[in-house]
Amino acid sequence: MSADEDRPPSRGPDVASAFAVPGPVKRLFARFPLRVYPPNGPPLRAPQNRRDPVLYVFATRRGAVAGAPSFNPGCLKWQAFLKFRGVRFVLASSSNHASPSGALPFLLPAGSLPPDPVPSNRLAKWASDAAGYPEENSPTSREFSYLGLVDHNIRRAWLYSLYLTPNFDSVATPLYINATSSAAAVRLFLARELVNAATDALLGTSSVIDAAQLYSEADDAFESLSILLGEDSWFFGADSPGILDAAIFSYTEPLIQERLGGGGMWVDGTLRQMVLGRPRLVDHRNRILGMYF
Amino acid sequence: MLELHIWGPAFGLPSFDPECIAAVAYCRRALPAGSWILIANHDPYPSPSKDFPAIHDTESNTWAGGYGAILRHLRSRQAQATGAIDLDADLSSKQRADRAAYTTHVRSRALPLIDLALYTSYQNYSQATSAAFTALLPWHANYTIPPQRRAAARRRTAHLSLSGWDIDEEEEQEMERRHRDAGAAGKEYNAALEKATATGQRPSLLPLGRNRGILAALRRPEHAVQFKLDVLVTDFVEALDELLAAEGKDYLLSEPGAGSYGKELPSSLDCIALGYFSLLLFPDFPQPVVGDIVRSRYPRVSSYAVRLRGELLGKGRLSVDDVLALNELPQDLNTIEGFRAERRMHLPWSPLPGRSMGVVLRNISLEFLACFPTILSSITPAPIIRSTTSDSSAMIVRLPPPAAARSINYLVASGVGTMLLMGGAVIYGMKYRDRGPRDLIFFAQRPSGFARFGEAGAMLAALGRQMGPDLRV
Repeated sequence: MSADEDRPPSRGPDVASAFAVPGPVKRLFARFPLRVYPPNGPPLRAPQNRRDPVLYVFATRRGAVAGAPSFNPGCLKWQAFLKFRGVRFVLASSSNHASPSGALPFLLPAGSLPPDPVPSNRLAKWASDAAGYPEENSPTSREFSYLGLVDHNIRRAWLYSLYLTPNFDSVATPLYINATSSAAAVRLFLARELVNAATDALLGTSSVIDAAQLYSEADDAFESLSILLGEDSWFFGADSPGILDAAIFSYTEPLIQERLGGGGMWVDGTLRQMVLGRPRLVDHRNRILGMYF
Repeated sequence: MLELHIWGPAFGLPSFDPECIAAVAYCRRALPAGSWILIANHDPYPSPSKDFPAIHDTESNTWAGGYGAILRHLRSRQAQATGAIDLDADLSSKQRADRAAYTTHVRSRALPLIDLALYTSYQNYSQATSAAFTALLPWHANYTIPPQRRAAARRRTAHLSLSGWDIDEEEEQEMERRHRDAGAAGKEYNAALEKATATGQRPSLLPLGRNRGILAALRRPEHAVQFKLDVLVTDFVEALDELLAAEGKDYLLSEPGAGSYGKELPSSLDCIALGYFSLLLFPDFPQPVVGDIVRSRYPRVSSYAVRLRGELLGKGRLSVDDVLALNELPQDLNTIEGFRAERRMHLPWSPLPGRSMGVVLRNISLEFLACFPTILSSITPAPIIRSTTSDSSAMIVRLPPPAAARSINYLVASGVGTMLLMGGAVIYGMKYRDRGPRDLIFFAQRPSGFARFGEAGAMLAALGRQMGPDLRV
């Protein structure tokens, strides 16, 4: 009876023997691997500089190397903001398909293993941590409201102007479509997708897309921001530019450029004229470009 | 004469749409009484924005759609001739900047809240919003407008992932079952507690295990919703509360002592704020979470909304039946004015102008066609209105779609469309019959049994009753 108690109480031996590796086979496989080759080197196009975090944005290849402003407002806003906070980073040209969240920009911190990408909604906090800034004040409610002017009024007019007017062929197509693929069918499909996405975004809150209404709201927004800026260098009379400066710069910069990203001219120049007609906003853009880029 | 067309009254308010309430408030303050009338409409086809609010200037026979376009129209010269005042005329440039910023703020932050409260919340939709639509809209519009608006609201709020509110009936039963389980868990806990005290052991504070205890209760969908709503409401109201805080202001943008009409004027921003706050604060919802947060945390804002409602919309609840009863009255001005005075209607409500049978039929068939997304989208171009110049007062033209591609689509689609129209109507009717009375209230009032067949049914029923005893013998 005592021998029974020592044995494990399961039906172990019979089942285990069916799955156990026979001795000779085990010894044979224990010899492998016979030889281990040294690891392959990284491909030549792999990033050389791994000490700096990498910000993945929409950019032309040359623009990314030179650190030029991205041609996509959503990316440019964060690119500018990181520069305002004095964070060192390099740019990488990318597309939405590369992003873990499905949208650019995102940032890959230096030397993080496994890679822990920072999506755009956490970039503000990451930037103040990285730059050792004192705790970033969350925007005041006033700043919050004016940010809404950029994120709604100006963005909606931008979507209309870039995707639903002849600007699409001259400006957007070379930047977003021709750079992605050279196959005509793929280009056609991508173009359709972009236009549909813009249409859906604009139809979310209204039954029709009224160009006059969109442009008039954008004009109100540029006027209000110009008044708010006044004679100050930065919004709200701050010593250094903040998130609202980055947000407005992300639209004024691409609009002021005559050929966005080295592409075609603006055919529908309504938004461009709105910015050029407001010297304070033009000065503000030039100030940021001169000091940070 | 200016006609302001809006989505009709609901919840005791002039409209179920915030922008419409805003337009009513603006017109009531800016236009002299007698120079404008208010019409509860449900066919936005003539409006350039294909939505309400829209203003129809009967003298020049022009339409302006949308709050912004209405304001621009009222500021134009010919409207000024009727004695319209510009509520924003006295604002400084700084105030104008604030007006633009906060108008966008209210619209973008409050719209999701209204979507959630009116449409996404199943309880509110089925018990309050749907009933309001049924009371207001003609039968055919009830098949299209409420589902369309609900679908749009759900699309707009999908990214908030507040699905805890958007539950269908089966899920609701599931929730009830879970509540019962929770009750059972409570009994289990009490029993364990009694047993533990009887044996002199110290009971653990929280019953451990999945779906029990305080943490699990907080993770339940209803509470997760509460937290998220709290954040959304704070984002929206905090900024306005701060605006009102300074030196006891009456209106959002006012500075004490300003205003050239002897008395301070509300601005177009106040009207917008009233439109959105009205729908959040004043309806009686079965699930009044959003309104409760505003009332309990921001008393200053809610008293501002109540005061503004009394000032701009008139005191008291508005009855839908009164407004609809106007349509049955003889079309003469004195009768209508007398009726308005008798029912204490503060707003110049007027009957909906009669429409020809053809227009009604066209609308009904278009609405049915809209149920087949592929057909409607292939015969109508993307609804883009491009103006000839950037000047907003310029004539607005509708660009024709690219000709060749569309004309084929048009032929095919119209052929298929007519064929499907009949079948579609049948399918649609069956689909809605199956949805039960909670989604479309008026099905609940349908008679059942023999009464469904009208007089013939009554005869059959009588016959049946007579035959009953005979057969039993």
